[in-house]
Amino acid sequence: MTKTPDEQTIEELMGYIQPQPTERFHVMMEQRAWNRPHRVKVLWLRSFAATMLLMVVLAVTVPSLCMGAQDVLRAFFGDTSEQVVDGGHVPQGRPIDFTLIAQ
Amino acid sequence: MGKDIALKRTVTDSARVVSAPYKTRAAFRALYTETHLTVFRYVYGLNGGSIQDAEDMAAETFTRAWKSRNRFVGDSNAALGWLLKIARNLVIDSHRKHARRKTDTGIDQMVIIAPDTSPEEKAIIAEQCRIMWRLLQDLPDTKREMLVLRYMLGWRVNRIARHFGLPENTVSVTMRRLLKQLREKWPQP
Repeated sequence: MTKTPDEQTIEELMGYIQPQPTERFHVMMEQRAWNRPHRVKVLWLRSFAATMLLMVVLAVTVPSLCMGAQDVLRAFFGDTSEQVVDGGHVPQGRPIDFTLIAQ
Repeated sequence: MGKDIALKRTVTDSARVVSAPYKTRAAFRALYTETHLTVFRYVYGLNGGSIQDAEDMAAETFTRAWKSRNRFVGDSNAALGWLLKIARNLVIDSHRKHARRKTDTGIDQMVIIAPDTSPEEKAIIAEQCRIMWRLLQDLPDTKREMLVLRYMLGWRVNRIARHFGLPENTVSVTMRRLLKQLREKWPQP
């Protein structure tokens, strides 16, 4: 056990305590929001690119999906339309003309 | 006339309040670079726990400051006061939660002694620092904070007085008493 220090020594002792943060702290702080400005920009770019890609995919697939849907409808209702149209044939891709039903 | 203009200019400058100066990432990063060591030492000194606890609290201090940066108004001095206030609240909350302060057993690693000091002297200083660190745990938060600001952060008495909103003389007398109190409580050999 050391002898009791005087008040001036106690002041000096407190000055000796100079803690430094470890590497863990610096790594932790590097990941904080104010240290990653590019990330937000990258996210914006990514979401913009994803939206554009989705729009292109939809532009390509939607017409063919519509055609497919029309074919399915025609498969179900094709007979009815033939009866009404008096043996006529509705060409593919042409919409069903409902005014013919009234005639 | 010239004197009046000069006086007017001084008044206008002092009355100029900067609103949200740390709004941008770059400004906040500069504030962090400038103050992180002070905030970390303040938290470590006030908390008295392990280095990891102090690091977590210092990190949380900056995260909270970042979230509320748009509401902050003032200059760089006020910014440090704002950060220390957040840190202080975190430490007090932690003390309330754990009911009892934890004492860092790794204090030896935080003691910086001049390299030309003899090994015997180093051992004595390290032992005395350990004892003093234990004694500091028994002080109330405000008194401990005064000692941390004065000796660990190296603040002058007038700055500490401004920080606490107290007269300089009161701070000076309180610190003298605290040092005396620490000496009286020092374990006898």
